[in-house]
Amino acid sequence: MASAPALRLDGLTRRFDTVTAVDHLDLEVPAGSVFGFLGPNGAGKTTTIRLALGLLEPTAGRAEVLGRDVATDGDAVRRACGVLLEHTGLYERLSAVDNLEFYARLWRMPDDARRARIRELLEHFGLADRQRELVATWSRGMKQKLALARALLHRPAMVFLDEPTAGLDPVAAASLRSDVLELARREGVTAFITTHNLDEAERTCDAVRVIRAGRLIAQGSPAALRARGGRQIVTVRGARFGGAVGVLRARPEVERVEQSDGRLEIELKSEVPVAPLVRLLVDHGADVEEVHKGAASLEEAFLALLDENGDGAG
Amino acid sequence: MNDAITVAWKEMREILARGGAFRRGRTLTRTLLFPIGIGLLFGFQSGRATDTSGRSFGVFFVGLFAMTTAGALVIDAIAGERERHTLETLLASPASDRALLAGKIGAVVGYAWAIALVQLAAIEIGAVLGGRAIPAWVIVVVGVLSALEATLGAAFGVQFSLRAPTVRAAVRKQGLYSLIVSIVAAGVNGVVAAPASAVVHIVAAAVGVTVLLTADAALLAIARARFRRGRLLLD
Repeated sequence: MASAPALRLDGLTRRFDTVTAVDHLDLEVPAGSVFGFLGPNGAGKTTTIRLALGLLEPTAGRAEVLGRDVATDGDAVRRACGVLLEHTGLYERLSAVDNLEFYARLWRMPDDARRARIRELLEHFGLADRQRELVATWSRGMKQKLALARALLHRPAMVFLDEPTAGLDPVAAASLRSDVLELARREGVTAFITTHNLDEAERTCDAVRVIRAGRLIAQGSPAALRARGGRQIVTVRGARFGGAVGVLRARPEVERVEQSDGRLEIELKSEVPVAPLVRLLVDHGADVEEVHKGAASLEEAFLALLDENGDGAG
Repeated sequence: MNDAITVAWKEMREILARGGAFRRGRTLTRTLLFPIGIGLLFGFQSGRATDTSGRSFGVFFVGLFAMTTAGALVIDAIAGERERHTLETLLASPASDRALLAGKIGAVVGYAWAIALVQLAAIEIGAVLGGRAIPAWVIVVVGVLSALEATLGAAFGVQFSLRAPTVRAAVRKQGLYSLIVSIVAAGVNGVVAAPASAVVHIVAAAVGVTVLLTADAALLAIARARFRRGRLLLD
């Protein structure tokens, strides 16, 4: 039996004066998945999270989180969710322990469980040594880890992470990604992650959606999205390509051919076998030493999608 | 109720940590120095003088400080949270709108009122040192009035904080209104403490309490209606 989605948005819309930040958004996030929500700046990612948590009132449509309607049962939705929003939201005049203590009390964790969980998380994130220091004195990376600890404090069924690795060094970012994945696998937590980092989405997410100007423009697994980006690049190393380049360019499946310093880059319009092209090169006198076939990166697919839908990623 | 107490606990810790460093002792001493100094001065003057103008001035300042302190702190607790980017995360917690507002107002009123009581005690000490104590009933009535004045200052400040992106913007919006309201409300203390017959004192105290209670109730009701998490994040 398929489980109910952790997040369901039906025609969700939010207008700010003349700007429509989220435009009739329909979305379902499977329970227990790590879900990536991609889009350029101003696409509506953060507004979507705010609407899902009841921090903004929708102009139209509805949001349902863990089976509860956000409009009528917002407090229960927020009780079941953890958040790491665009800003860490930490009280910099307070210590790390006080920050966690405050939110643990708001989530009404019993005294013993609260203290044990705070200790566990501070140790897990390597923050225990400085737990009594003011958060204002901490580095950006430490604050981000503390904010993630706060999001996980009450063992939520779903976490919303808005650009969670922004500003983190590669080691800290990898550690955070691994924490999220572990959480999803071990505890069945659903993670809704917005990110600009497409490499991160590819490494972390089971499924992704791309949003632009408040509308979904693509969905699927990272691999499917890459395929939808449509480009396939064949790189050939060797010599004497001259006679073959013109013939290649005339082939219907070839989008573009570029030659430079013993290297030929062939961009194909779609997924096609490469062997006939290699044979054609050889038949026209090329000395082929190495052939590498690669799909477009998720980033290339993402940019292609944005181009298809009206503009670049700027 | 639990959530409101938790929010008040956090607010109080933030208030005590104001000034950029968590040096509660120093912050508190600095905060208390001025009201205690003013209280001792006016109290001593009142004790030495043949009339009671010093005592009226003293208790007037008790009300004025209570209102302005509560107003400034509540602006920091709402517009300041927004400015420091902590409000959104707080709103994403399960605490109800009512608990959030009650916790914030409760903490700032409690803090402002505590300072008012310290100032009032300083006035009485000054008066005793000056040779003539202030009647206990004046101290009690002004103590009650200052709680209502602190609540008025907080409820007034909330109105200007709900849509202000920064503390400075909220203070600018508030403009002179706050000062005028504070002077008028604190003036009630001065009238209550001024020389007059017992009947006039009783009537002034009753009218003052009634007016302040009504104003507090009205402004708190408006604050409660306007403090809705779906409308607190600015576009």
